[in-house]
Amino acid sequence: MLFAPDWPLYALFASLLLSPIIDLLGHRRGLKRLANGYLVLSFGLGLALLLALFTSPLIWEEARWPFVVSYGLPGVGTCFIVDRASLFLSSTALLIAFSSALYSLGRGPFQPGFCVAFSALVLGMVGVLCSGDLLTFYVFWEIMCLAAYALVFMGERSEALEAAWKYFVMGSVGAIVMLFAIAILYGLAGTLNMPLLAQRLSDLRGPWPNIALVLFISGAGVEAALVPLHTWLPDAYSEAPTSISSVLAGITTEIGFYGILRTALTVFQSSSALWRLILATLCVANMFVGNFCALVQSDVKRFLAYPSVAVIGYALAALVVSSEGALSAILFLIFSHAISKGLAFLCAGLLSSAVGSRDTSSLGAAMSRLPIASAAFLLSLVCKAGLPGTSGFVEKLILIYALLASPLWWWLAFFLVLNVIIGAGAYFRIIWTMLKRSGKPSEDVRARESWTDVLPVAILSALILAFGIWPTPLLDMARLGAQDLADLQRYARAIGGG
Amino acid sequence: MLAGWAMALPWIAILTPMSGALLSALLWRTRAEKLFSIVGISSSLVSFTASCILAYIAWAISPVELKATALWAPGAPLCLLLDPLSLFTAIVVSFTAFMIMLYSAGYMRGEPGQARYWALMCAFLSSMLLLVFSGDLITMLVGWKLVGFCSYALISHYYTDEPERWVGGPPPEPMYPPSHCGLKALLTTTVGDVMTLSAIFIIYAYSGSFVLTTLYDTAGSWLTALARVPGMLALTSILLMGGPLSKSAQFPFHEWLPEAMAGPTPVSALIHAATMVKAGVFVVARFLPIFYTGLHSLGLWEASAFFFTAAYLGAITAFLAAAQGCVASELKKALAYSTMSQLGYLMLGLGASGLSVEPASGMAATFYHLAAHAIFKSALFMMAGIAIHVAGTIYMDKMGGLKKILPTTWLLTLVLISSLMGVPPLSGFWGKDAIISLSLHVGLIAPFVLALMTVPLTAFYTTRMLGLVFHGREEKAQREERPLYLLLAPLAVLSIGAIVLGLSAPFLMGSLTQSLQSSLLTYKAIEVLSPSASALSEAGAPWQGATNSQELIISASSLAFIAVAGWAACLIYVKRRIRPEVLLARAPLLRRLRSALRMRLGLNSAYYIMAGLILFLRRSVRAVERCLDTFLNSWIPRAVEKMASAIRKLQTGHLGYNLAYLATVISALMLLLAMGVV
Amino acid sequence: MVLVPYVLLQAIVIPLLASALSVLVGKKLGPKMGWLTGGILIYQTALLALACLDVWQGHVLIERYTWTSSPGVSLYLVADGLSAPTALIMSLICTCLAFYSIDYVRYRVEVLYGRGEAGDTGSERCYAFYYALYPFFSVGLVGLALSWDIIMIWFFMEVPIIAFYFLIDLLGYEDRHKIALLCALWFITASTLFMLGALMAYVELGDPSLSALPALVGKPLVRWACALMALGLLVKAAVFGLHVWIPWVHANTPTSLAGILASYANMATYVLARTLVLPLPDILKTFSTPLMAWALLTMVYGALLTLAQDDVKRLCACSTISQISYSLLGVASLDRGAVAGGIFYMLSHCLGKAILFSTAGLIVYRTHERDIEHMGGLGRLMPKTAVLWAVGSMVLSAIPPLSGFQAEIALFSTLFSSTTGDPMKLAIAICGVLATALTAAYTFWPLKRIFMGSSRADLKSLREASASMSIPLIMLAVASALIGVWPGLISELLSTAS
Repeated sequence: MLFAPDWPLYALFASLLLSPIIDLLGHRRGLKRLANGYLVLSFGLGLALLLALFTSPLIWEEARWPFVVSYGLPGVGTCFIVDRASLFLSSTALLIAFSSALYSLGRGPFQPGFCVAFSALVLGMVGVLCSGDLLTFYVFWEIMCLAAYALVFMGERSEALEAAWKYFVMGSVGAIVMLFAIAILYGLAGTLNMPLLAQRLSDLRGPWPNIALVLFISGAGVEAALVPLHTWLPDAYSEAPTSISSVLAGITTEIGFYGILRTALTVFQSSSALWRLILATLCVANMFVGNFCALVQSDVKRFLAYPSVAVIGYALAALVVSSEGALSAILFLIFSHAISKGLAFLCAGLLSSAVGSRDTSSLGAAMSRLPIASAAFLLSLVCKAGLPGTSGFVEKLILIYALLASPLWWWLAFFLVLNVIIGAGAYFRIIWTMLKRSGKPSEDVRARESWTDVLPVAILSALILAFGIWPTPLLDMARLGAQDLADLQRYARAIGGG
Repeated sequence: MLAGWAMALPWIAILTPMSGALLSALLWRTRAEKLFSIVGISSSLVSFTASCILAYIAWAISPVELKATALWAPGAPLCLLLDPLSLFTAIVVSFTAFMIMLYSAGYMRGEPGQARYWALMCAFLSSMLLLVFSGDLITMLVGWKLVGFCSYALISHYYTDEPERWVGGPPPEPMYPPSHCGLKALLTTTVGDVMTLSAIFIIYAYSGSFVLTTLYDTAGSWLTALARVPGMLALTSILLMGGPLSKSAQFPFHEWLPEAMAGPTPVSALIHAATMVKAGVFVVARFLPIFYTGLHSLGLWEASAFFFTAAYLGAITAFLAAAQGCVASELKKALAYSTMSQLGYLMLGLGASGLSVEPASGMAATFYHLAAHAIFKSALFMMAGIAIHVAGTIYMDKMGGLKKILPTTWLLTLVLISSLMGVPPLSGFWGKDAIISLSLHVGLIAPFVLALMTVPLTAFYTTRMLGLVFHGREEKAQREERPLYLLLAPLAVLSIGAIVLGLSAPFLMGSLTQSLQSSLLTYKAIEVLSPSASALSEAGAPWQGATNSQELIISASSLAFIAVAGWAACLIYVKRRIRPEVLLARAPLLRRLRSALRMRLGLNSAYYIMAGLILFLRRSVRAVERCLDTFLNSWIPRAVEKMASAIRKLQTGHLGYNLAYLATVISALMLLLAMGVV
Repeated sequence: MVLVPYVLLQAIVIPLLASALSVLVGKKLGPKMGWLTGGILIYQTALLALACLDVWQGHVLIERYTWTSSPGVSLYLVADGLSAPTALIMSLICTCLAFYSIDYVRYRVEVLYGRGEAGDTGSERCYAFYYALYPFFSVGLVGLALSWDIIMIWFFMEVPIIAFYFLIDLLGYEDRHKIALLCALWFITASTLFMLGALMAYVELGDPSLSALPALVGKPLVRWACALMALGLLVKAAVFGLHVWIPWVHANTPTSLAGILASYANMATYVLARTLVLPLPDILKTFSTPLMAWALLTMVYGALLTLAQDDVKRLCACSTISQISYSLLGVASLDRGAVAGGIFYMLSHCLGKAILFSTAGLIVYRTHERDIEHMGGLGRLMPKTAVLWAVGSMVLSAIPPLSGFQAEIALFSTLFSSTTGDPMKLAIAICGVLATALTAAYTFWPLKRIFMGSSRADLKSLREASASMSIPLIMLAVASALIGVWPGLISELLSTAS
């Protein structure tokens, strides 16, 4: 192979190391856009590497996956395990990060540290996806979270401070709880290497693994926005700078969910009955809270924030089933959600900055001035509502199919469908409040669309339509990822059986 | 079997007027009155000649069935049936149509909506012929519905409802605009149609065929199958009568006909006197063999419901309509009532002949009377058209003394009226008498009495009509500016027709009986008891009835009735010896009777009560709709929103709460473990 | 076989070409875009006519294109005796109404958005938007008719919803935004229910094609699946109780779409026949009689509701409720012949309703008046319109020589002969026939109220609508008359299917 699957990680690491200098340079020399341009380049590079991987035949070779890099003693040292699921999700993350960076190229924020924090955020996400032992996992998790706190803090409005504070406190408490769980696990098994943990815990008896599980879920659940630990989310997402909200809402929450997913499937395999039960309850709560709260929002960014909670609910339902079909459904769902939600946030940002208000009913005034942005916004909402021709339709289809296919948990599909309807109601309600005011173009809106606005919007819309009309390639990739997630033996073998 | 060119004849007869209709419809922009009238007249002439030739060829070898290659539906071929019934009726229809087309060429001059009028008249003729020649029920229904639609469209010809076009009144009697009358006719007949439709579908469900001859041949098998379900046969026969009753304006569906006079007079003459109203009778005759088989050969008593309905309702209509005719104030309405009453005779005739062991002669008498009535009634309507135009009013009591202005018309009217009255040897006498005596013969006592009572009433109202219109002191009248010859020529022809038909009655009815007999006998299921001389003479063949005392008594009594009533009416209305007002003032009972009849015995208002019921239903339905609507379209969404905002309450921005949630989750899960649920 | 390759695929895809063109050049062409769209749709109609010809000769056209591998959904198009004529009529209606739209949309846009003065692209954009979405109807309806894959049926069921929502919102009447929302929510709910049932069936069978459905008998979830699918379809077919969307949505759609909306609602009975009644008669046996009774109730109630209307458009809308139930009556009887009859009735009603409703549109377009109370005497001023209304009424109230009569014969003759064994069903059928009397009442009474009598003084200067609006309706009338004179065109095709 021409290069290893862990290179993107290193590339991002390098870009993070370089970023402070770029940041400094930018602000000394007054080259405002330099920092953000740098972000575009680095994310673009990472994305390019990943795409190269996905296009190479290597991706189809069962035996090569998962790809393991470990340093130090086996079972103790740091270890990265890169499989096709983590590659899939990393590319999703980088795609969103790339388009947000493009967007921020035109609109900022141009604040000191933005560049550093953003690249830290992305590195953290990719690191979490690739880490093979819980310590590494925790480290990258913290990097991700800290970067996120900082970025939320950079929001335009004064409420950003409070939101960031809340997010910080909640997130850190959650992280500490998670750390406690990790400590317990180390005490139990004497290793933090996930495959090894999986094997050793399965031989263990007694309540401790379960206790660790409970603590882990409730700790990671804060970042993953499990109800009722999601309360920080709407504030944080709505107050963060638009480019960041699109990343946070689009993918960061899902990375948090990935933490639960990965550990549940490997480490906590032995006590799967318990987490299935817990997550089944939580997923119903997530769906309903997410959609119902979305139904009564009038602030566009708050509105867009809530359905992420619901999406976590959908993903949890599929995790409860955790058949191969369900897992690929999860991956597809995360991708489709990321692009549509990212797009929605970007467009919402464009429109609301044009009219100078975030009230949905006032956005309509900007429609005739920003045709592309508003069209893309409608497209993203229609996609979230799951209408045909968009990836949202396929997402709905395979998800419900996977749920129904499970002999034990098929009834979750009914809740899901009910919520699909409520969600559609919420989205169309927003479209409605928007179009209601789109009579005559209002004179005070003087905004125009620059290429930095149009390009990311166009990319994401194109992807939504493309995978809506021809989903097969994406579905195949998702299926490969799902195979790696599901196949524990290969996962264990990857580190030589321990 | 028929020659190829002869097979085309019925289609020529049917399609020529239809193409004429299309032609004038397409040329509606060019207001070429002459062209339209020429098209109408010539096409009707073509169909008349075609049907005459066809009758000449096919009469002897009938019944002939022409199966077209085209299918209506899988297993439902398009058939024409040429038998004495259809041939005879076709001639009558096309002849009267031709006459009336001629008349309207003069009459409609300068009226609005020429193209529409002529197109619809031609379309009517062609669909009537389609109905008459139809050999399968679908074709029959096509013709049936089309004539109904044409009649609707022609009744509301003056759809702009200028006040002078309104009919009815004078107050307190209600006045109706033409558009209203058309709708009334359409809806009333539709109610009947759907009943017949359902009956036809039931028949199809059990027989599996729409073709008449198949139905006749297999009647034995499918009727028994049908009769296995108790009450089904009776239900079917009653439903089946619905359409004919409404089309032929029989009680209780008769109230649309008086309003149908809102159309132009030729329309009333052709459609609402001569032809369309006969469609009901024709269709009953078409179904008669089936139920006859059911009753007589299979002994299914339920089948008799068909005939009893026909007979009783026919008799009732005959009597009631005649009684109302005696007090009618409008000329055309009086004629309409007399049409209803004559149609009542026809229905009675068919009912009676179905009940008699030997249907042919009864049917023959009925169809003879059908022809006779078509001729003299259409002619009388032509007379009415002229009279109304000259007198400038639709009310008879405002007319009078027209004899001086229109001597020829008076003379012709005299002939026509006496034949309507039933004065031998004119055409009105034979059929009617045969029907009456037949009804007695088959033991329909009540209908017999009613029918006999109708005779004096007929005499009375006809004489009254003559008197009011032509005699008495002269009212102011305007000149007839339209060429009178165009109006009078068909009138004259028809009056001569009435005389000729009357004189040829014995021969015509005899031969009609024979050929109907033979045509019926060709169908497997039907075995008509062989027509012995006695059966014939008994079963109403009055020209031989001289030997039979019963017949003699009936004829004599009817003649006596005619004489008495005619004389009475003559005294009152022609000689004007007794003033009707005085008479009414003397007898309060008579007065009350008169007003009751004028108000149509409340039957008409019953229709409007029905309509009112529908309007009431409108209101209640609106209420139901509102309930459903508010429940589904506003309560459910509101409930969801309520729930949403309730859940949103959890979303306190307060950090303390948020941490509390986290604590709760952890402790709850811990508790779960501690309780050892898993 | 036909000479044109991929005839069915083309029929589905070609209209999308029209909408793509409209996106590109619609703004330049403005109202003229309608001619382009209409032309392209004519091609589709021609293709389907060819397909019909082929089916007439006894072939069955089958085309299959894989869409997703897992779960395996494919664009599986079958033109048999049942689907070919349905597709043809649907496409014909869409095509004719596309031409009808040209003037109508110009009028509506001018009413709602004013003449686009120079520089303001608002109103030109409306035309582009309209003609970009309009082809979705042809795609949806034709696809619904042709597709042999239960998932694809759901797909095509949702395709028109997008167009309906946005076009009602763009050009509708009264509170058009709210009406559009109502429409979208009802339709999405319905089709989602259908989807859940369909997916259940698919999960049970592992094969989404309709030919696999009969194997569903005896599977555990079969009743659930059927019930859900039927419920979804009954909402669209607007049976009593679930019909409350029709008076609002149908009455306030832009009139150029009203005929299409009626066809869309009608297609529910077709889908019911194709997905449930024909493959699974034994499962529905117990529901047959109740369903027929429900249909009867609906037709009577709908007729009375129609009589209760004074708004000309609402009147046409309510008449749809009772008319659909006739097709439903035939379909619910489960007898193959009667099903074919029901489909025949549905096709005839679609033609008739398109004529009638669009004529109502002409009246409103000229008089700017919806209340029948304020009309009257229009016959002398707009004779062509009056005749068109009369023709529409004749189709609905089954007066020859138009298709309505033959449809009624085809429906009831088969229905009666299927119910001879069952007095209950027979009674329902008889009542159904008797109920048709109400149809004549609610079509010809308005004819009197609108066109007859003396006309209002201020309407004296009324002119006929332009030929580009009336000629498409005349075409539909000609089609209906053709079927009425030669019913074999449809009935023999249908009979080959059943």
